[in-house]
Amino acid sequence: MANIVLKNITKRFGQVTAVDNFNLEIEDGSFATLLGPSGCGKTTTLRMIAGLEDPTEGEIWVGDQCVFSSERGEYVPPGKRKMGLVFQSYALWPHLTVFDNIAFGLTIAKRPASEVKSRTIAIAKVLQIGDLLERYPSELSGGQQQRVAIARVLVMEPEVLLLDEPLSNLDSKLRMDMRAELKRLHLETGSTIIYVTHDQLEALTMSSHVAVMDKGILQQWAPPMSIYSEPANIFTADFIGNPRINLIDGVLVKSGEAWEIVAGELRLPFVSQTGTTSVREQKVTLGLRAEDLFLSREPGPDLFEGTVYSVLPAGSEWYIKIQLGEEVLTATIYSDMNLKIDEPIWVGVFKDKIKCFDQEDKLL
Amino acid sequence: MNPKAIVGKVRRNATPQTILSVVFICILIYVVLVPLVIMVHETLIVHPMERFQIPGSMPGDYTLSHWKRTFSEPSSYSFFYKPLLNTLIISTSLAVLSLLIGGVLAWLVVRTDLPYKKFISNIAIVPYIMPSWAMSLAWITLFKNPRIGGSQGLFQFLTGISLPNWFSYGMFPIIVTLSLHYFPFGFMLIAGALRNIDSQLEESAELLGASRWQVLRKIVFPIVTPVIFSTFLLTFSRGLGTFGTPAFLGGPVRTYVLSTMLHANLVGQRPGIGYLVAFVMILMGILILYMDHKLLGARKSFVTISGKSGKSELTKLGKLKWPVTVLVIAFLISVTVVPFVVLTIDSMMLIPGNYSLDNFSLHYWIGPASTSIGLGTGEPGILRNPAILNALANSFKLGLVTAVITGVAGMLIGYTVVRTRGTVFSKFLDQLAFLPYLMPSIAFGSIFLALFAVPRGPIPSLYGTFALLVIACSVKYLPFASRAGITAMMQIGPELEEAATMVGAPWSKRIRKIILPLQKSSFFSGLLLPFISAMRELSLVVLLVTPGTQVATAITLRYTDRGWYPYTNAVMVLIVLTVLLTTALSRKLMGTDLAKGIGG
Repeated sequence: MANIVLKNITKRFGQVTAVDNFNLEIEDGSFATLLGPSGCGKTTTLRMIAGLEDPTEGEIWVGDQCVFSSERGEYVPPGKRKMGLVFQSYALWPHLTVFDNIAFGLTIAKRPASEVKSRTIAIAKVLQIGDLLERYPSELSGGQQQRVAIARVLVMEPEVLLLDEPLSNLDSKLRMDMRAELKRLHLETGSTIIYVTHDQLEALTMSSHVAVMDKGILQQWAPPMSIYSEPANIFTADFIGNPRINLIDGVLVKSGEAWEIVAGELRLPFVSQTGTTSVREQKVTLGLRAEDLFLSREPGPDLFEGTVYSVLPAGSEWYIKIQLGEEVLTATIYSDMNLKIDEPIWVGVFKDKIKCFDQEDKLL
Repeated sequence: MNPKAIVGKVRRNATPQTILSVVFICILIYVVLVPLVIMVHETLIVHPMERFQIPGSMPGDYTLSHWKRTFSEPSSYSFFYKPLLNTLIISTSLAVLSLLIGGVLAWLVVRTDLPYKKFISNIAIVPYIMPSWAMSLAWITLFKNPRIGGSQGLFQFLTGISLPNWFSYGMFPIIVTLSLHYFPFGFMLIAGALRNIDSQLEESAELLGASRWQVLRKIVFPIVTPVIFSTFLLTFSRGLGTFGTPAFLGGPVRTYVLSTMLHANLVGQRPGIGYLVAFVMILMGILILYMDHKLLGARKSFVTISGKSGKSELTKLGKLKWPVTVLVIAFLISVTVVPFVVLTIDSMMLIPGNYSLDNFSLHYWIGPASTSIGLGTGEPGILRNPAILNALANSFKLGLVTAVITGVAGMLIGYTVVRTRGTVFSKFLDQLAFLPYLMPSIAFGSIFLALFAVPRGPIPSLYGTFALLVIACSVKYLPFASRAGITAMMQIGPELEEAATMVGAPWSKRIRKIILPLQKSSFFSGLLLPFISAMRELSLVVLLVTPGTQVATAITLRYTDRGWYPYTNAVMVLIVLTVLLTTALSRKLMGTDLAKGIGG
């Protein structure tokens, strides 16, 4: 068992750069997620780790073994990397039964028949598909196919488990259940998991570390909650969180001893999220999460007047769109205020949650 | 880059699929592109038998006289321009007629409440399964007149009317019989396109107030236009290369087309001109491919993409329903059952031209060799004639071997093209494997004559060998197989193979345990089309057969030349029977749908 290290990985398909100078160190036993919109290079990265795709440049290390190096021509084929990959489409072999699907790898590895049988049955039990062994993939539900796909990989006892959007083909209820199960599986097997998804909720709920990617470039690599609360740049702030973060262009100005952000109608004190000390007057982008706003029917100090633009109830919470000068902001509230459209409303901000990005797209 | 990195890169890129693609590209370049060069060379040299036509030349000398003779001398008109004109007239009329017949039939079957649709669709492809010149033989048998030698036809026997020459021979019957052979092509392609139109497109037009006819004119026609164009071009190109029909129906009245001109020159005294004609035909074929690709490539997509096809409402034929049904079925029977019956009857008439019952005899089937009975040919009946039985066996063998070779090659090419997708190899191989499709058959045959007539490097002269027939047929039908292979492989996602790679299965195991089992059914059903095509092929092999490698189709040509029609017809009946039985059998056993393979 070992850390997985990607060093300066670049992958080009013709003129298109799919992954650009990517560096990552994934700790042994962690649950790492590659998160990003489609086309951001996350699946390509996963496939390069698996060995199905060769990086154009860079090195991949598993522990102290270099499994790929463009410089030195090193290459360990996928079958020898002790990794298992669960495909988005599951890729179950339609002409083989569930048993044969799971047993395939062991047969290829020329394990004795008795061992193949016992290991296959054992893993099928773990994944609760023990009674489906004689069936063909086309006779299974989506959730069952998913379990077979995972069993087929786990039976090989991989040190690293690679999962490519494994839940995207399931309906939303099943997806919830499987999230919990995958998380348990991670603990029980103790193997490293690298998980690819475009679903931020999946990334936040399951991972120990998340790598946010966009256009082939790593945006941020951090535990899920710090990605949420301290997004490294505007992309990450915007991509993570539901509803989307409110982003408003403004300026950072000195006001007496303190610093202030002026953005549209808002005038807020500047509080650094990163503890930076080098602050100067400049254009900035202000980021306010919907739940970091609060509403009041009465005017008050540090409240800004706007009007209700739209009200979107969502069960346990309400999303309120507020027209504030030129901007429309979204606020999440947790009790029904019975707001009417075009009604005047006062907006407040939790000051320690204010995010402010500088010209270089860095969180200040 | 340092040497180590390069070695690593090369080693990783030398995957089985890349190696395969390089191998296939090399082979195809050798059998498709190199011969083209050789052919051009052949048009520029003096062949041994041409020595006396070109004063003062030695065999092997370079000369432009073939080019001059073909293109710019007074004799060019009869050598080249007249046959070219005939060819263009025939191909154009043929394409238009096939489209009309096929299109109307397709519309009736797909879009109206015509009854017996399944039966009609099945029988409508039979003319295409039969050899193209079976129809022309039947035509001659039915409509020949005694003026141009020989006996009267069945029609004259029954009615006493002697038909004019233009009806019995030449352009008119050539166009009609070829159209009757090729209309299934239009039928299948257009029916496929009609079926694939998303019914919502039509429904939304109807909701906006368009009438049935307006919907047809403004929505359906424009959508199927690319398919119509494409069908037109493909049928046209088939017309270019066809040999049997113009040879049978045009020969007696000296109506020549490019293919018969090519044949006459190549086997006669002027191979140089023959090769030149072949070269022109190939250029025309490639031009058509290019047009099809350029003009329609982009537009084609909107027909094929919409896989979602709701059931659109069928047009009610109303009062016309039964008259139309009777008409359609009568037409289909007259182009399938009638020719077959006519050929069968004719082969059982002892004295040609007399179709009365007391003239009935199985002499041409099982009679002894005799110079006094019937035609007095001195040949035994075909079932007692070892030469014919041997030729039939050869045809069958040719069909079988060709089918297996193209099947395997097609599957491997499909695998290679799909797995190397996005690379130059993939595109090049795909196009190279499709090229033979548009080379006129007889010209393609002459290519192989040029290529294998003499030993070249390590490859011995293959002229006169069975292997040559096999190679020619395999390459010619490769496009069917490679297209089918590509389609089949597209349906197997790369993950299925990658999943096996992940657990360490080497390439051989992945092919054996994953790809092959999944491809099994499409592989077997893909064998049928090349088999049938090779069984009934004449144009392609006519230049390549020798007495030692005679095939059934070519033997009929020899009998026809001597006017021994009963033998020809009897052999033809056997060929048609074999082909039909094979088709029916493979349909029964493997559920093969021929319509799927022909689209190209």
